[in-house]
Amino acid sequence: MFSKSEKISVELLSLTYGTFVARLLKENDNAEEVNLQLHKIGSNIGNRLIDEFLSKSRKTACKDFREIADVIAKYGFKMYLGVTAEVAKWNEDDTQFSIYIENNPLSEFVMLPIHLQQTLWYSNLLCGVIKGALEKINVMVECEFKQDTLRGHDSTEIIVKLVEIVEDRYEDDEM
Amino acid sequence: MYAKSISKPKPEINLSCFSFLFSEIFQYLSKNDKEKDIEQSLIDFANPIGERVLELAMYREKTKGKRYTNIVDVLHFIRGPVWKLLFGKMAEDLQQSSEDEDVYFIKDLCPITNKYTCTRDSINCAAFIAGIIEGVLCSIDFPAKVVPHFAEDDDEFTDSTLFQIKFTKGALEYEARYSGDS
Repeated sequence: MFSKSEKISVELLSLTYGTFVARLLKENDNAEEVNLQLHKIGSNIGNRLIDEFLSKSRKTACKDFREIADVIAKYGFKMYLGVTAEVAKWNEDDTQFSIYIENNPLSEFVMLPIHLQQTLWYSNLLCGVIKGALEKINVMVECEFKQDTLRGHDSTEIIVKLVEIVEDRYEDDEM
Repeated sequence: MYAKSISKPKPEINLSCFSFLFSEIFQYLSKNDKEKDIEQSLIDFANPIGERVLELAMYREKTKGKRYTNIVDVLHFIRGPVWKLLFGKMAEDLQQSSEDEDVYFIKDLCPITNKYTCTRDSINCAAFIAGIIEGVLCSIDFPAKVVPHFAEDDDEFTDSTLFQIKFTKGALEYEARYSGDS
């Protein structure tokens, strides 16, 4: 399905991203600020990426939040990062889940210096992308990292929490 | 674990993924690097990438530790293995300037940085690639200034870019020193 689109090497992406994060770290006072910026930049990307995703993947409307989660993990990650992700840890009322990513291409070649291991979420851009993309289809979520192998954790986990699904409202024209 | 994973080329990924990131970087630089023109910002930004690309390309080519001692070899290395690692293909062409001995040109018909960018304002985003080349050359001890030019003679490929590579005096001296030895 995605083989038609043009390809680039993963290395170019990960090195470019790494250089960008390094630059942000240099120009901001602290890692928390960088986390926020990455989130915001990711969200800009998500806003635009969703259009391309919908047209290329030919996905139609998802019926519920569970299906949305599946599409993100199985198609979204596959299409843009070439890896699949696992959805797990649903809460009871199906409003929160975790995405587990194996072999995150962004963090290829990366080792965090000790002083950043407690503060920087290196791939925070991804959270922004998810939030930004869903926002455009009226699904408001909060999205954040829970674990990252770069920090020495066992796995890389992103938590996605549903805030609300905004219904399209059509007002009657005035008579 | 790492040694194993870098020796093989990784599967490739969707170009648009890079393009989205690139456009954000472009915007960031144009906002935060006001004192420079944007092409120079892109070049400076991409310099450190070149350093890492060099390491990786040498590793892949099994030439790790090899020392390049002449300019033409270095340029072939960039046109071939480096280009392949980055873009999955060789660069179209490599030429020496007919006017200046220390100036060379590498040609790419459709640089990926220009794929989804508008080139109307005569800003050439391939400056990013120029920066990578500069970084590679600098790390390999052949410092040079690399400038992207649109190749205007090409009607079919409007993004076609010539990377003008002008070697510094230091690079020429370095070559001269080693060519005497062999």
